Amino acid sequence: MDTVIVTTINLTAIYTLVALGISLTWAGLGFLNMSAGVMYAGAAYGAWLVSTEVSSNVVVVLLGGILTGAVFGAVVCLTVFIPLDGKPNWEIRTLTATLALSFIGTNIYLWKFGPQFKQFEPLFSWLPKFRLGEALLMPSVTGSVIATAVVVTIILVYIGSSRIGLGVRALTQNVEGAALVGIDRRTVAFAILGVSGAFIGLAAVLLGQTFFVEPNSGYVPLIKGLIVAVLGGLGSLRGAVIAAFLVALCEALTLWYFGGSWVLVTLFLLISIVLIIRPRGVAGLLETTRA
Amino acid sequence: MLKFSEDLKHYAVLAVVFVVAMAVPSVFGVLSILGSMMVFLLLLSWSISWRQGAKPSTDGKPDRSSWLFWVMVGAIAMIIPLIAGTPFLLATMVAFLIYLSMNTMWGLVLGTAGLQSFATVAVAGVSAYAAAYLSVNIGESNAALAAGGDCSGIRLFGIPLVEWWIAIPVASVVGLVVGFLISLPAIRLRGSYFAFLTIGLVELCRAYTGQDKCNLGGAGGLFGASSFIPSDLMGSLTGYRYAYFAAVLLAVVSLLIYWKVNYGRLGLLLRTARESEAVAEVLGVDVVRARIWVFLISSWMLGAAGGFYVSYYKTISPNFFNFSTLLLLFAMVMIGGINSPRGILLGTMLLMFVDRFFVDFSPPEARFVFTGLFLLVVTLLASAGLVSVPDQIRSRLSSHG
Repeated sequence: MDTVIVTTINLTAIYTLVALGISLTWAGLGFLNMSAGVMYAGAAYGAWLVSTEVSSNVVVVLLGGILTGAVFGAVVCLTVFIPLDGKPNWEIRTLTATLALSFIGTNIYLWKFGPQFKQFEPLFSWLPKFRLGEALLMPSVTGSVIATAVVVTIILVYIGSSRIGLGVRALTQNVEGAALVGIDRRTVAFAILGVSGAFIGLAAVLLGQTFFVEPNSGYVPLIKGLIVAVLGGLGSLRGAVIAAFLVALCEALTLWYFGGSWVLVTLFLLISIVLIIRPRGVAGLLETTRA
Repeated sequence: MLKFSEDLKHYAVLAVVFVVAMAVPSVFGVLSILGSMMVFLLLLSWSISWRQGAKPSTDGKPDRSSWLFWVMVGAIAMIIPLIAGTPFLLATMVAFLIYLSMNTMWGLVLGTAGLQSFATVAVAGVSAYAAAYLSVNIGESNAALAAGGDCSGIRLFGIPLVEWWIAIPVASVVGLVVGFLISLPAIRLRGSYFAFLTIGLVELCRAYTGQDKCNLGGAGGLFGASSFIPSDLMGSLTGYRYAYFAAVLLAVVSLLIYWKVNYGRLGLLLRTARESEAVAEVLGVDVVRARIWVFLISSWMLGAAGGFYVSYYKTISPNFFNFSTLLLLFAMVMIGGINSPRGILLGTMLLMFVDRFFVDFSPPEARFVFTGLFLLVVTLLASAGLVSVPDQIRSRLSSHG
């Protein structure tokens, strides 16, 4: 049972990150970023290259992942948001364009890096091991939680205090209002997608501690991130954290009682039930922001 | 009189283009017929739209002058088995027609109803699995698995083994049931939420079919299903001709259903609801009912297509639910233009051609990168797929004076 708790904590931290990335894009820019999986794998490869070519220092590798993620966010902004902003059939075209990006990206990784698994050097082995009841709190788990907390805090403080952050918050609340007070959507779009990418990039490095990196490794995080983001209510920060916890708990319990192959089945049941009861997710605050 | 001679000139140009298009395969190999026909049909479609464009077109109006397009499609469909000297082209065409059948049904849900559903693959795949389960005895076809695992070989609920002509209708009923179940959340969920839920459903299907070794054969899937091709013709050119005409029948039925729904009353209701749910309800449209209907109709046909798939390939595996398959089908629907049967036909043809013609291309990923880039460029530039380009150019020109 203590293992369940440890797994839950670890997964909560990481799912929160991916879901925040997806949720922020939805709230601020109004599209579902289906290329999050490719951003994830790209950031993982970026961090892996940094750790093998530059330095395996923990800060450097984490920064490598975060920055690669942010660059990928900027690419999505340049190729999807800016060309399509204000054009007809916005919803289905952004969905298609991000899916196309994910198709392109995955195949480029396959081409350049091959299908082989890449593994990170353990980043957090210098941290001590803790005991939590019967379960051993591995350094990678401790490290993940600390790194997530630090980065999320930094970014939230940045969004809460900087001028760009003000634009981001305005845009997530009211698009017309933001335009009226002279906020440039394009500049803010870069910030939003950059921050999304940073979150996803960090998640990629952290999850890369437990899983291998391969061209398709972004797919499962994309699905899980979407589950969390949708469950929490797209665009809701608090909802994302609560939903990440629910999903992680559900996953850990399923792993413990039924085994890994049932994870998707129970997750899917969970989300179906929640969405049928509350179609806008746990937070359900979207009725007033984005339809 | 002037009108007539203009038309004549138009048809003369088309005839020349057609002859050139027919000549291409003799230079570039037999498969390029798919590509050259696609280019020809695209040009034809563009010229029809351009000529129609003088009067503003809405996607709900029956395309009166598009008969020329469909006559040419029919003619090409008849020519292909005549000029195909090897089973290869026919096999490609059968795959194309199965995809076309699935894509037209997807077009009804995605385009006409405007519901962002990705459940198409799930419906077709589940029905295909049902058809395969009905006609495959896993104990016999996969003896090693039956011996190694703890599978008793007892069939669920004592379902008997049946031939393809029972399996396909049952598959379409299974499709109907699955479609009904999927339509239920569609009533409450909107836009991206539904897109996500249905993508999750496909992934769930993949995960489950990969797990169930005893009934569904696990990762290897089921093989050895009953086929509509007589066993002595299997693999021969005659056998493929047989399959080709069966697939043409499947695609024609799908297109007729598409036509009937899209240009009929149901299509009108669905489009009204798509544009504005509030307006539709004020007008007294029962939005929920209309959406359930479109799911039922399309899922029935998807079920039949899934059954057809199994009885043609004789096998089904969890790969059917792969994300890349889903993306390829989605790209096919989106590239041509989701709101028109011409667009769906052209998009499916185009990507089928790219997929098969560059199959030996090195590195193999380049083909997918190219497909993705193509989809991206078309999505960014054309507002509703390739077929909408003339309308877009016209409105761009008129807005600039």
